[in-house]
Amino acid sequence: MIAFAKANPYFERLNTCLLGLSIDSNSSHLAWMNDIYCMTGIILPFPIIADRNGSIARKYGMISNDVSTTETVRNVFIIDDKGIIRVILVYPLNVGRFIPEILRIIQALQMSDCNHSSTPANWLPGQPVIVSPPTTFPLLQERQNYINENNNGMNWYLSFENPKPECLNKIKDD
Amino acid sequence: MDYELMMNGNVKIGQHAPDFTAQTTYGEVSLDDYKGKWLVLFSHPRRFYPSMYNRNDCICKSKSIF
Repeated sequence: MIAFAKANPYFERLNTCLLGLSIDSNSSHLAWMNDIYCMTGIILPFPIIADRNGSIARKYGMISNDVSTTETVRNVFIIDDKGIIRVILVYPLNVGRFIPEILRIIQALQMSDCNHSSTPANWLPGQPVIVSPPTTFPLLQERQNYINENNNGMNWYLSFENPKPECLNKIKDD
Repeated sequence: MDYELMMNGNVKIGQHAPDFTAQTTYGEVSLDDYKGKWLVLFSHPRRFYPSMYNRNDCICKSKSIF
């Protein structure tokens, strides 16, 4: 929670809001928020849902019966600006999340949406993206020639490009 | 749709996020409130799991990677 709170400005830059959930009561969340504030000076800047009867947790599959029938596991749902679930991450009870990866995933999704491309393994903002493969034979030949001239890919189905600057600007860290 | 999701016990990527309205630490919140914004919805176990009180985070001495 504190880690999310500290990263909140970075999420905001990506037009992204944070929303926590647990099956504790609202007053327990308020007491916890206050504990965090007293101990660290940090005010959790995002809401935490009190899902007392677990109805949202069950709807989203946040409870893993094999781990615990009453506890939510650590889930992350990345939902886009149109309300579509784009990524689901599931962690066990005893492993905390790695916030930079959550930020990186949002950057990769927003980059893919903006640039109509995809991102390779270990991609970070600023690095080249994978060009969508051609869909017709003339386009395939064109792509192959382009790769031969620019030496920027393995084959017509795997080539790289620098994303459009406007796409990079949207997701760029400082 | 919601019933089906509950029976399946999970939702899948590419689906519409199931609607909800809930009480939160900042008042009532609905999924609809986030239209036009990206949303990270994350669940947390009950309190007092060890990773929650990461002392390094509390002390704020070490430079975070951000």
